[in-house]
Amino acid sequence: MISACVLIRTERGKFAEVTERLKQFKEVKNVFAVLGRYDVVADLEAADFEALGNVVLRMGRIAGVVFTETLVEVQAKGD
Amino acid sequence: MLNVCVLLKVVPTKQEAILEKIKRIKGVRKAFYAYGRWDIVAFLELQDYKSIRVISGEINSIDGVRSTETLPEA
Repeated sequence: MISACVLIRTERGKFAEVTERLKQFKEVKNVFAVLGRYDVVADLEAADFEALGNVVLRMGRIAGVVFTETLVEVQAKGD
Repeated sequence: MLNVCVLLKVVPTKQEAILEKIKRIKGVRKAFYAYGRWDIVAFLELQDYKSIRVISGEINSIDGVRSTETLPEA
């Protein structure tokens, strides 16, 4: 299992819609609108890098999402 | 409960000690090293905005933490 934090910026006023839409992804364990330089933050867990890449690409195509920055977990041996 | 995401830039030689300390902070649900602009990501669940300020200060005062960005739930 590999975790990632996805920082998202949405079109003005669309953060609630985007947050609801993201809740439908099974890999999204938690998602919430935030104050600060981003609008929404998602806590992802995927089976592996490929699955993680797929879900992030799908997230980027959601109506209202204009920017995503993905911080992928560094998995060292023995983690 | 309030969700919070905290992003950290840390001194590389101290990152293991820092991650260990963060994992022990009450309210931290998940913390990991990350690729990209930030070195460590932490997800927290806290009581209220006041405890966010307290915990954010606590994290910022850990030896080796260069900078942090706290993203509290709106």
